[in-house]
Amino acid sequence: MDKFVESLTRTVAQRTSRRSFLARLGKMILGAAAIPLLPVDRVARNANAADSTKPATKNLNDDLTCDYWKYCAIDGFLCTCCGGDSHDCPPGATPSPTSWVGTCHNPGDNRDYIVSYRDCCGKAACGKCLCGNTEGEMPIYRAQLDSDLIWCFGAPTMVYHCSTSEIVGLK
Amino acid sequence: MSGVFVREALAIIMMKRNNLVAILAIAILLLGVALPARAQLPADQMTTLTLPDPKPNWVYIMDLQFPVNMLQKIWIIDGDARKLLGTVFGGYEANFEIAPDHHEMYMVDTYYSRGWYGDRTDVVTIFDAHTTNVLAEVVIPPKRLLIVPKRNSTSITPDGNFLLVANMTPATSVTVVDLKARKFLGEIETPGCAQVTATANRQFFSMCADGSMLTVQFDDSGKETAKKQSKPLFDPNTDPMFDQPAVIGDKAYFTSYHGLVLPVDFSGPEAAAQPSWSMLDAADTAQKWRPGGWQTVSYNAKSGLLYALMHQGGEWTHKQFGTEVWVFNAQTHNRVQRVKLKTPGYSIMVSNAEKPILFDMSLVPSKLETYSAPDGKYLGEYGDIGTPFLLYGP
Repeated sequence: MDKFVESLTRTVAQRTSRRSFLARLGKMILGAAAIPLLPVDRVARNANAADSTKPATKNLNDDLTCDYWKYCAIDGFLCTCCGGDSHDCPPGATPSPTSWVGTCHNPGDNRDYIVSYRDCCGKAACGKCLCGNTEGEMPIYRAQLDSDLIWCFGAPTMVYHCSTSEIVGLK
Repeated sequence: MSGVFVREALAIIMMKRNNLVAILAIAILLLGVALPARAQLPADQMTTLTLPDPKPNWVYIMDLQFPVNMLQKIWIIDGDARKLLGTVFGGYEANFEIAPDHHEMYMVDTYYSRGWYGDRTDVVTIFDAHTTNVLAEVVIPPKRLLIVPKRNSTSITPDGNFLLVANMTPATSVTVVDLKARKFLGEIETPGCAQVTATANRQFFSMCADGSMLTVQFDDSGKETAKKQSKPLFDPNTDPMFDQPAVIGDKAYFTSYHGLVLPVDFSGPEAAAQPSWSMLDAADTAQKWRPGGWQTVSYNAKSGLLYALMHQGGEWTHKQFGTEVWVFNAQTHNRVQRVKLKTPGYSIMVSNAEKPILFDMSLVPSKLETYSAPDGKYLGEYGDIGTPFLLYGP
């Protein structure tokens, strides 16, 4: 898990020059004792949750639908419907350097991936393909697992446009 | 109208090739016949109405105006008459509060100078509760917690003197505003803990990542005087508590994803949990009943009854629309009523009137349903309220 946090932090560092912001983010991560447990916790809970099994009819391979495997806890407007794709922002929107994280199972290769739900920011809401998936989603006191928060910290503005799901690595 | 008149009109229509001219001709004939028979109406005198003092069954509804929620709205509705009385507007991810004496209302907002871009301003806007006119503004640091609006992103002290605003940058803190002096006082750090709920005139709590509660006391200048974090009162890893409890005075009723009720006493300097209890019996559990929605729990102080929005679903269905409201005696933990909702709800609230109303608010379709409480008799509905998320009582 520490490796994961390190990797995520490195990713953030690569994508932003806002060092003061990163310092604050670091403080927050250090302040939240639960962080190192989180993705492990979610995977364990998902594995135990027999009734969270997806029905066979879902479009697990269609990234224009809420059922796409990588969107297992996505909440918001799909950037794939807004001129972007599952991990790229539409023209004019800025990828947030911060995000909340989760684990989704890819039935294609039968592996669990850590994904980063990165918002595209800086334009008003796209309004297309609203999804409200909640697998593993937590209240705001576990902010890193909360999908209702505007995850545009460090972006030019806190105005939310659409949501992506970026593969960070294997669980 | 006489048959002769109608025949004349039809004859004109037959003669005229231009329908518009024909219609005008008929209108002129009608006026000629009708006007001498009626007394002239007095000229209207246009004014602006004002709201009376709120009644206990009024409800204030936060409409996010999705998808582009840069300008949110409060609908003020008389729950007995199911009539719209007025509106109040706010900005991006707005929060709303009502003064305890009902003289003022407050919107806590973020605005960008060009609507959706430009310079950010966070501001508390103070409204007259009767005219809904803006009385004053207090600019606050541009740090407020930007989240789909929740009741406890802001809070007002029982004496009405201080407005507390939760911040997340993502470091967490609470902004203190002096409402009487119309002044930003300062910020109180709440590391590892989010949101804000006032439980006394100079005291609030925040929920923390490990399931503990942070109790903070402050003075008249908005400075922290004491801060105490409890031990974890629940385990978020196994059964997280929803982050919008039912709060009455210095007591809060938290409900969990799996249906536990956790009463917490915030009267002292440190939060004290009382024994938790389950809303579900074995049969309910087997049928996968769970609490869920957005504003999922409400408490009626006069009756001591707790209202919870429930649905049948499995793990991670904590935002599923509720099909029933279950009513519990908060002391005995007995379920006293199951209210089957006509339309599955996303948020509920029970009023504090002599004849309380249970409000059930549905997102799809967009409407408010009213039921008598606690017996759950359906009373009526009021529709087309945008994308409603939150209910507030006066």
